[in-house]
Amino acid sequence: MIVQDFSPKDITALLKTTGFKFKAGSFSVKLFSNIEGLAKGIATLYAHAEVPATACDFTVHLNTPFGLRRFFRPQVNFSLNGIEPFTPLPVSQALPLLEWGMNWCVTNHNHELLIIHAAVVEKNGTALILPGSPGSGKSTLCAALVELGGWRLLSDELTMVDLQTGCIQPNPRPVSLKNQSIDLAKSFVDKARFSPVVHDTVKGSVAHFTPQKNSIESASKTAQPKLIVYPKYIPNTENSLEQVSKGQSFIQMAENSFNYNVLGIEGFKALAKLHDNVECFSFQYDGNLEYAINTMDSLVR
Amino acid sequence: MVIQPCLDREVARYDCFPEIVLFDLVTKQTILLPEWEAAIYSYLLEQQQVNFDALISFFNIAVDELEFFEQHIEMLKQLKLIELSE
Repeated sequence: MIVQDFSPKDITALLKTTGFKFKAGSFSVKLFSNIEGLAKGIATLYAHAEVPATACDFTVHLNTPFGLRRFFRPQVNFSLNGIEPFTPLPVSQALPLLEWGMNWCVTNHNHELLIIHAAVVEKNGTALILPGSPGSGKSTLCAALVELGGWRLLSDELTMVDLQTGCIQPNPRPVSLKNQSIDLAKSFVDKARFSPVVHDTVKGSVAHFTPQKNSIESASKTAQPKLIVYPKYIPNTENSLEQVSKGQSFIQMAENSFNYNVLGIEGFKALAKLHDNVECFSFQYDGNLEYAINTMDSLVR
Repeated sequence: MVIQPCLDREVARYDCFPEIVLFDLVTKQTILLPEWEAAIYSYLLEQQQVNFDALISFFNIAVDELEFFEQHIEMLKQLKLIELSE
């Protein structure tokens, strides 16, 4: 069964009782929640996700606290096995908090993988890694590549490198967009695939859209990394693609990794192996997505 | 002056010409050695011990480049990758 087989009403009932299980990328989640309206967001963002019959990787709770706070400016808490890694947020931010919370679960509990803060997409067997700081246009470029350029989404946020094989393990979760990039993405992604825009979060306005069905169905198909491109969106700039040295890229990837320091020498070896097989570039672009897609396509021809 | 790699240092090396990335097994730090430092360090690993004059001769360093060259050696020293002795 997939999430789409359940109505929001069914999901709400399960969230409040035995928990609702679903596959979020490569990992399965059992979610308990008393938040009204959350089910609709899950139904939208995880429509094609499998509903597993077996035990889940993570059991999480997303609930309003007890007491008066349930009525006065209500808040929401995320917890995993009783651990609350975040301060409570306004209840309107429940869905983004679920996404951020699940990122936290993955990055803090999967040290058999090197996890890097980067989008990753695949075409013709070539995985393209797109690391980028906030505002670099990483997620917008990733969205354009998968929606307009025919690339397969492996992840828009977490690049997961298998320590043994060096392959990228897909984790196709909803694509996260912020501020102006939301309206831009809505010009080329069906609006029905979007969660509602949530304003005034720590990241500004945020929204997510569900990945294409083929990305979710290919979640077990790993990909060989061959390209690392550091995008930088600068309005009214001259577009450019320049080679980056492998040493510089190595250091940047280490800095962008969530668990490089935890892994120690294993993380170093994984990054070394990764850099044996990739070409590295910096890509400065002015927001012309057609140009950006053509440039990325030219690298895999 | 004699230059040699630090014997008490454990490093894992990754060559990505013309640079070297090192993982210091003692401090758990990742270090990027740029072109010159990488070349000097590689040569010292091969030779184990080199006289300073032999080193500048090997790298064909002109007199007006000496100060610049010494800065690279100083950087390797600060990273505790080499040690100098009289």
